[in-house]
Amino acid sequence: MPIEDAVAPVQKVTIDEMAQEFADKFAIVTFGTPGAEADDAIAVTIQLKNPLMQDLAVKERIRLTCTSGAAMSLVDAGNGTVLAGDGTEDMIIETDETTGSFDLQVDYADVGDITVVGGATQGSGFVSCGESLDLTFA
Amino acid sequence: MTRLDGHFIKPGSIPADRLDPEILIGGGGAIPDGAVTPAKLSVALLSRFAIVTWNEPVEIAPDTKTLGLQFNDLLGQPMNVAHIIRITCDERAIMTVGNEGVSLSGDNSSDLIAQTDATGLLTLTITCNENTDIFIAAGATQLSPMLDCRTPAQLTFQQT
Repeated sequence: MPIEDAVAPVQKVTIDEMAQEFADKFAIVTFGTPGAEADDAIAVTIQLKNPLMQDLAVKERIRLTCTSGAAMSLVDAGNGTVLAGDGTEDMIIETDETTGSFDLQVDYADVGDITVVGGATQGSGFVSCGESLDLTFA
Repeated sequence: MTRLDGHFIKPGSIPADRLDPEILIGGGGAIPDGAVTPAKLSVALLSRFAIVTWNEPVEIAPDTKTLGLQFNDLLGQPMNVAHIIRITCDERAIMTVGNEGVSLSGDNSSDLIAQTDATGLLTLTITCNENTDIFIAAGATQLSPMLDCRTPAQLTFQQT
């Protein structure tokens, strides 16, 4: 084994090497498994994770938009807070500080697929919103 | 810290018995090897992440205050760089850019886009003629770097 091979891995910093404090500075928006449709509504939990894919219990502000015609809101007694746009297709929310989650409800009276996407907005931290969610209403 | 703990020397990178027992693995410095912290980031990487902080507001008049926004790095040090940012506030207040920084759009409104000066500082003048608390939020916009804008500013206006 040449010395080049021996030392090379040390130079490469991986996500797994992030200290907890450092990793927790970055939030990734993930969607849980949607619940069954009931009364033209589907519930799904949005959960923040750090780059180590551990649940991240912080308050984060996120803008949620979805396909036109659907309406988004907070599940009754669910985690999180709606800051603006409750009951619309363009909503700004705040995750629950103790869990890092937001319990989203999407209402759609018609039949078809509804796509939900998140994004950074005013008051957001280092947040990655690369994942979207497709909900099928039957 | 063990010599081969899967961090500083990764498993398989070099057999333990090939290391001289006199070699101290782990650095021995103030920052232990094995975990990446902001203190270990290179200057180039550190400068990729900007955190919005707010200075203490200064009252100019009962309906007027000045407020400074400062970009800091992950180590809490001021970033000497001009960045673009969007700032919004309650519609009952009006913001204008002060002596530090440049307004790019929306000056004298509740929704403006501005650029900090070369020291990462932007000063705002906020006017509000009601007795109320005004929250000010920052956010990324076109041409912004990676920003942490989680901390808002809060101003209390008390007319006499």
